Amino acid sequence: MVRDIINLVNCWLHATTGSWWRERLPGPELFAPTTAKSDYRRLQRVVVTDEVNQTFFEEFAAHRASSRGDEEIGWVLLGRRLEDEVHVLAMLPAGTARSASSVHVRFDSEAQALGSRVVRQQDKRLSIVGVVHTHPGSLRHPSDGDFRGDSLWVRHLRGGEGAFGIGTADGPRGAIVSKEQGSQFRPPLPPYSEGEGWGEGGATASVQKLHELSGHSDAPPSPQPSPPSTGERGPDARKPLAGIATSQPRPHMQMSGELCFSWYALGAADRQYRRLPVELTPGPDLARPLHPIWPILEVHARRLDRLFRQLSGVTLETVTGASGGRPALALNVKLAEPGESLRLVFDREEVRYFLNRQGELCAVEPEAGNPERALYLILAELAGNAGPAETEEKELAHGLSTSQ
Amino acid sequence: MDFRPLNDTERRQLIGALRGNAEADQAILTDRRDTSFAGSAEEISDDEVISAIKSVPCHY
Repeated sequence: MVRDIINLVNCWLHATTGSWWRERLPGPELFAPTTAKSDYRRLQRVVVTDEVNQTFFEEFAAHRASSRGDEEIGWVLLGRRLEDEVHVLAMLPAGTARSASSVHVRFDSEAQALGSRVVRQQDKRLSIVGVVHTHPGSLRHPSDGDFRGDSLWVRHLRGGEGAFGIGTADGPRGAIVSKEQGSQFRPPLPPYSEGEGWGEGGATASVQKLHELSGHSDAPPSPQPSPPSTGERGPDARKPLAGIATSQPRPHMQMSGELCFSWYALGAADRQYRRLPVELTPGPDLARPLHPIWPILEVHARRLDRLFRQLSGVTLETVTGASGGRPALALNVKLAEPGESLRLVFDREEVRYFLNRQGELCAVEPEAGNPERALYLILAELAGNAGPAETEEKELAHGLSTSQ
Repeated sequence: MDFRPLNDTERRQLIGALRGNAEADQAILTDRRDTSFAGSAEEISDDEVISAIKSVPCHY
């Protein structure tokens, strides 16, 4: 209303007053009402990046081959909710601490929450857009139990609607499909099509630089792209299953061999799920570097989440650990002085601490087993070291000013 | 005013905000003290995302 009045007055002034007025007034187009782009319509499709799609099939196959293969498994989907579609850009595993059987799965949400913090460091527009879980039999549709939970849960999602995938292993065995025959591809999603994915130099590039600068013999491990994993596979099982090709027998289904994912949408007011066409697009799985270190994430999730909430300037990234070059998790805490930070490297066996001063790294050995406590002890020690000098400077300055 | 170069994360966020502004009329937020880039209107809070994760129901 107010905007309309301003716009009318502005237009009237432009039309009736002299040229000096026109030079000083902003053009009427600047007052034009903008369209509300946050208005969501019913979901028409789900767009999945090819790397996420590949991770689905790889991890489902790996899960079926594991000791818990007869249980259900699942993933939370992280991506973008647009006007009438969702883009799936990352998948967070259920975790080894999940509760599951052949008829249910409940995810370990603490590790997933921390995982979301890590992935969203790069793009705060990412949100939860849905869930995928598997059925051991041939039921390619969410169950009544799924509906009861999901119809309430979708109220937490943007647009009040979510994308739900059901994985089954009931397709024809040994069916090989070429990519040309297979799924419907759409153009890449910016900005992730332009080498700006999480694993392509983003978070890891800066760490690499940090390590190149340091000549310390006990330097923390250097980052490397991580292979995919469910978070429960052994190191030998993490090799990517190169060249997974999928077919799309129906618009809402993706198949690769006997594995099948069927997609559905559900809104808060819906009485049933409806089939959701799926499209693939070139792009990354932004959570993929985290999958090999998921057990580490699970062990430290609660403490690290608390640190995220208590401290500002905290970042997490994957690095290659010291023990056998396996991936590890690094927590960076920015210090008050420019160019200074603390770095905690969480390996499977141990936690190591480093102080970075202008690119020069030195190992720190706090006398505390609890990493959270150790971090605060180091910060206290640094504050103690910085305190007297600053105080002396202030006292000196004060003395000078009073003596003058 | 801090004239240091943007780091990778900041650059990525700024590109995302500029793209959102150009393509979808999303507002670019600026810091009220020094007009530095402070994100885009499309950003979603950690609390909203984590609340959704922690309330994922059991699936059957």
